[in-house]
Amino acid sequence: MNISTFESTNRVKKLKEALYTQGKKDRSSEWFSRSDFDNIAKLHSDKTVIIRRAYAIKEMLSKMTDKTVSERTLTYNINDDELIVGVLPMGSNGLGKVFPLYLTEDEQRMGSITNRDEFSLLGHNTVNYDTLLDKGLNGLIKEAKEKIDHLSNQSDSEIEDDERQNKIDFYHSVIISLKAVRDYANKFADLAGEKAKELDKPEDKKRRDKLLEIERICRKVPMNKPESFHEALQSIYTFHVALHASMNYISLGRLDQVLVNYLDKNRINDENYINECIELFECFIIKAAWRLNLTTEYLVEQDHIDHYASLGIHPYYLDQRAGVNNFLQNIIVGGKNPDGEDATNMMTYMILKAFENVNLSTPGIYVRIHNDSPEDLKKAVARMLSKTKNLPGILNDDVLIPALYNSLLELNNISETSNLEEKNAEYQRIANDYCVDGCWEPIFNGISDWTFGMINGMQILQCALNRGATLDTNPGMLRGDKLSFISDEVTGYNDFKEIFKKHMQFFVDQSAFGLYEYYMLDEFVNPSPLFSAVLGTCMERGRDKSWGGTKYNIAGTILIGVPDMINTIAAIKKWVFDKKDDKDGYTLEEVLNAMRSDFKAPSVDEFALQNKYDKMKADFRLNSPKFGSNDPETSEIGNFIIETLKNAVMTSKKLADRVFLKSPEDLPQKEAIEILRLRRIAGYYGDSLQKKFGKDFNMIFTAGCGTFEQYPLQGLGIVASSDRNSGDPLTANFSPTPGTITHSIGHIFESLKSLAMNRLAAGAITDLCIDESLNDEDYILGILNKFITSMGNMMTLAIGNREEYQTIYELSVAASKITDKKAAYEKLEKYKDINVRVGGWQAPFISMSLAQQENYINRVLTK
Amino acid sequence: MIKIRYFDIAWLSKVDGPGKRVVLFLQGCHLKCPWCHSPHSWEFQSPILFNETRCISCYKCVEICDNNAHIIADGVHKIQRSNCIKCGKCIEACPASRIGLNSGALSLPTQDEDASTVFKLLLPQLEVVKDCGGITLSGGEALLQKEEVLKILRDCKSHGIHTAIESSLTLPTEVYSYVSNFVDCWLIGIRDISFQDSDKNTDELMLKNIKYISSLDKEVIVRFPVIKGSTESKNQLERLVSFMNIGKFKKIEILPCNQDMEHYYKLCGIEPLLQVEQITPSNTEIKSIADFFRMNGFNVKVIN
Repeated sequence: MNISTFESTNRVKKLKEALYTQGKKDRSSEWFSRSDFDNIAKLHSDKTVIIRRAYAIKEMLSKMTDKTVSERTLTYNINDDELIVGVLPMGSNGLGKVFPLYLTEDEQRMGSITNRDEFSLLGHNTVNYDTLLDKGLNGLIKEAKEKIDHLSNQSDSEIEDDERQNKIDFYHSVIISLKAVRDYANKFADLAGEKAKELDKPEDKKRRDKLLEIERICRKVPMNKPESFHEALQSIYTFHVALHASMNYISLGRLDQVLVNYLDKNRINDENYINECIELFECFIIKAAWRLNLTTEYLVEQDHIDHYASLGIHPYYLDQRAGVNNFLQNIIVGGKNPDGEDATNMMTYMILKAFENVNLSTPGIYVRIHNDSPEDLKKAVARMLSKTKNLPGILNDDVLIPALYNSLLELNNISETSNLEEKNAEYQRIANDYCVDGCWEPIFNGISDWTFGMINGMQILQCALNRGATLDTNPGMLRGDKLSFISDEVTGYNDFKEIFKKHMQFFVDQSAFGLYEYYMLDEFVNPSPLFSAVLGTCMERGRDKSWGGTKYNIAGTILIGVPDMINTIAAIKKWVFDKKDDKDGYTLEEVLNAMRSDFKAPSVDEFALQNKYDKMKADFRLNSPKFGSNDPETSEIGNFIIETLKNAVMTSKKLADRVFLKSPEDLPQKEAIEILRLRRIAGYYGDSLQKKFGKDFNMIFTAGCGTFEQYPLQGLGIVASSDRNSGDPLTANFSPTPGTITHSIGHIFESLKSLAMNRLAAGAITDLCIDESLNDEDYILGILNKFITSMGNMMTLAIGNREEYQTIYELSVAASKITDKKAAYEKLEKYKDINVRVGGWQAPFISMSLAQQENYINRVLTK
Repeated sequence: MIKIRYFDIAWLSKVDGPGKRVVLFLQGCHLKCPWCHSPHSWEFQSPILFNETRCISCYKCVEICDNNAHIIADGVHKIQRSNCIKCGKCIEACPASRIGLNSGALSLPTQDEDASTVFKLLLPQLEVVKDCGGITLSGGEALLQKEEVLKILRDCKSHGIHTAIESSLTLPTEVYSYVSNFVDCWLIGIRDISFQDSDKNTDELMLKNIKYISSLDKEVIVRFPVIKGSTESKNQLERLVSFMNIGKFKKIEILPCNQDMEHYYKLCGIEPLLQVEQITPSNTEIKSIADFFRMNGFNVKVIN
């Protein structure tokens, strides 16, 4: 059967059109407002936070199916032609979320210190839907009840009161949340039934039958194990809606592995049947994409971001505009199974085909590929990239599996040698089964918790060069902004490297120690009983994920701006360190002054200085090695940065484990006292995490390189560097700087080969864009193969047209001005189908900020 | 060490052989056809190229040059190429230029590099196009450097890369047999060269070479530049057909005169013999030439 020729049905086309119509409207009225909800903190003030959270989930799901509220929010609707039902409430990574308040006023005020509130739930995770489908809500509820019975009957000598109560609360909160999902599904069954009843004319029979079928399915799933493909898909979708409605913005996981089991084995060769299943999946994609905003006209009205708590970690620049249509929902297909064999199956191709047909910017679709992936899969991916011009993203199993496996090995206690082989075999299975969250960070498939911190490498670089301070023109700051400790002056390249390592450690420590904080406080602010019900060992342990429920907890440190760091270090090495006694060279002081002043002499009279700066700028931009050209200098520097990051992360873990993780009780008194003292210095007075969560609680530290969509904002406040003026955007993710590619796309991959990318278990994504004139399946296949064999980590490939981008940019400029706003928005509409990759995920090009658009235009590669 | 002389690399070409090609343009040509768009490829080393539009009149080249090759007078920058010893100092001094980059204000494009280094440089992109194209060695006349060419071809074949050579078929037959085991596709520019002094020996040599190439049983693509007044008379077209029939060549690519032909003449200060607007065939003329070859049973492709 050749499914590559299957096309979208009229039903799907109509549904997609309906989404476009909705996406172009002012959607601000569809948002819930806080006044729609009961205040859970007031209603249940005597309850623990996790129970209140569960009641808030219940409140949310019940208001979503309230007919009166829905007149405005449109959340209790079944649209014509729909086969998959349920409506995601408005919300996104960039625009924020609305949810019933469940923290007391005092809790909220205390949260201002740690930047936490109801909305600081991180999301960024993934579900393995096998668990939900196998057990069903009913199975999970039954399990929770049994656990409560068991806990209630446990004698006081077996369990401490606190722990017993915590666990009972957890299971109760699971039951409340799951029952809320059950009620939600039943409400949609009711609605389908009502709609069917209204269709009493003979000509409506077809739709009536469909509605009755939807009613039947919604009464059955997700409460019970599905028995058909449609049931499985509806079950997943209902639960996905409930997760996202309760602010768990997370991925859908390896759906080809889950769904293949629900294809009817007797009809697997029946073209009509396969076509029906693809149609269902296309309906599923459109429903998951329902929150899209396809015009930038009404964004301010929809801004619901709270005090930077949206991501639940330290405040960092969030490019809201770029995140308007990012919902952190990915689907991952292909790759290896836990046994290490290729896992590509019929469903892999069907999902890819559905995405190829629908070609929407969300959910994200990633395909895992390894050197031995079937040729047919690689071809299907090349065809899809050629047709959709940017789907799917590529994950390299040959790099990410070893990276994750090695990070798991770090868990092995050196002194403990028993069961090592068995443990390592388990680690291998887990690594083989990896997934990515809603951005692109690798995590384990439905069994891990994930937190991360980001540090800006361009700040670290400046601190290393400028004795602990960033370069700053503000005279009030004297030498600059003091972000790090005072270090010695740099006298040469090797000397620079040593100083840089120390500053890297300083920044990584700050970030990495903060990651432990999550497990010190989030149980009191952001427990996730609904997600924990299906995540890893949470149910078995009776612990929410914020309370150490999962066996595997990954904490990533992501370094921002690596390509800019490489190029800037390469230029300084060449023109300062290597030309120390050469009259062509510059002194470090001269370079730092030039960077500080954006290569502009302080006064127009200073011709000689300006001349020198002009030459320096040209030398840096044009006559210095660039990342992506496979130059040995940039490889050496890239390797040095990655190794320094990796070492700093592991060094941080060592100290953090000693201070926060392990219990000092077994240590000699002197050492124990020291640890308590260190804890207090860090501002933590609580128990060791292993005491709180059990002896096998641990954290896996991983390192990654990237910017996400924030690269324009991350460049603000960063002085001029080798390829950019002061304040210009940084280079996106782990890609070559736009406009610096003198060789070919092959050289970009070759550059990755020399960097041992398997050190980066938190991922490093290379975003590339080739010119439309090169859009040819065979060439794309060549690119794909070269990326995989060059051991690149992750890649997105877009096929773009510089002129078209330019046109959209100009229209967007016009739309940003008052005078011709309306006309410009209208003209922009016809470009709604043009999606581009932004820092790893994709977004409609028309919805991007001007800075993002400018940056993108220069990315297009013609060779 | 085998050094190869080249003046350019096209990292991705769709018009220089089957599929997507990485093209290495080798320095030196004995023919110097007046419609050639790479006059800087003719000599052993290219003259210095000067792109006026990139010049920022900073006088740095004037200051650094010991031989007075650069003169800026009345705001006009002139190059006395007879004074130029191609030392490259001016390129280093020029803020708008960079050694090894041909798009700056000043450049010396000819590179002299160890053949294995050149292969290493090409390999990353060759691996990308491996299954949808390969390498094309072009020029100048690539086979004037037959040892070097052989070295690169061998390296390519050992990496499973499809190889093509572009040649005028005017070199001794031994040159072709020297490399032929490693060539998958021949791009041959059979042209009527009698517009110059009629040279019977060359005609005979070409005929011999055509028969030789034909005997190899490899893919052959005849490439025919349509230059009004030089290559497209009825007589010439018929002679081309008869040559192709002798070689049993089936494919012909028609190349209308390159509209940017004058670019490098300007840059390297060589007076062009032909004016592009006078030698450019119309679309109708191209079409009728294409039809002519089609009628004669050939597989025709017009390269735009």
